[in-house]
Amino acid sequence: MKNRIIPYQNQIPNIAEDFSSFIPYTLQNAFSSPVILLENYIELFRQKEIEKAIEVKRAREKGYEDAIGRILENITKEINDYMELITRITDFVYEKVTKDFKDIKIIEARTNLYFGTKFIRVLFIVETEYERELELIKLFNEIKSIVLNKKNVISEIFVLNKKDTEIDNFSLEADYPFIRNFQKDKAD
Amino acid sequence: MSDFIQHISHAKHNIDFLETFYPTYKSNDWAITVSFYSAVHIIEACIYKKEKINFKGEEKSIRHSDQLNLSAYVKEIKTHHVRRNLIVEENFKEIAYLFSSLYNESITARYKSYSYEKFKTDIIVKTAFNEIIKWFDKEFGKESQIKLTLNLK
Repeated sequence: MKNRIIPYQNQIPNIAEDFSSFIPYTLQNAFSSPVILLENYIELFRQKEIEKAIEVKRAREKGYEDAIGRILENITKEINDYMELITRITDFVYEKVTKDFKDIKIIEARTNLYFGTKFIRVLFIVETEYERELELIKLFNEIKSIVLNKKNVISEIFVLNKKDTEIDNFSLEADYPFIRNFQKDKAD
Repeated sequence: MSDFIQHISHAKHNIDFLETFYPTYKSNDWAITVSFYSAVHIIEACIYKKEKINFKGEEKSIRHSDQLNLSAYVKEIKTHHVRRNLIVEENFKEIAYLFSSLYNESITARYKSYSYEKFKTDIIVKTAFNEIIKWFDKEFGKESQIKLTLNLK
């Protein structure tokens, strides 16, 4: 295929020169009239203002980008911290109960996520004798107190005993849709 | 806002009602609900009486749990029970786990279709709730010359 740019190659430098000399040329001719000179200065000033405005806009956009970036970074960190705290609570309860309350079997931990409020609600589904639930509640109160004092986060931890009870899974899933199944973890 | 006497009168009213149907064990879910709300009034009476409570080690002048400001910790609280529970856990430690067990049942009852066995109901009402009543009589009753009793035959 024939390169179409070749016939025009010799003309390119001339066109470039024309563009580069455009402003001095205009100014030289403007000396003929103070009004035209003033108008040209105004035009130059306007051009500069436009350039400045474009620069400001770009800087602002960059600033917005930076700010949005920082906000997203903070949100991601808050979400990660929130998720990590829930995971740590469930891990701690599971390890403590497995070690010190051998007659309590933890089936799963359920939660709902409240990123907007930073409020934590965890429900442990267990299988044990009724009177042992009180021991778990004592443990939960201690954990809630630590979470509040060390992390400034308000939490609620509940226990639901499966013993001789038919669980209403529909209500449970509606209120606590996220599950950590310890029995499955153990099997894996 | 109810005062000490009004809260205790309401608690007594609920206890009287509880005593009428408890022995039949036909409405165990209601027995637990009535016990919990009686305990709520007992706790609010104690908060009113104390005038000053501790929250995270700082003294706060309040006369009702709703006056505890938690905006620094949580952006929105959907239930006022959260404030009361925090107050109980820090200020009334002796009965905190008993009150928490009543609250726990009020929250989780729906997941077991409000079905409670006799033995479990006794643990919640005859043990947990009754201990809260005894604690109230010991800590606040003598001073105010008010005695709460729970008679469940």
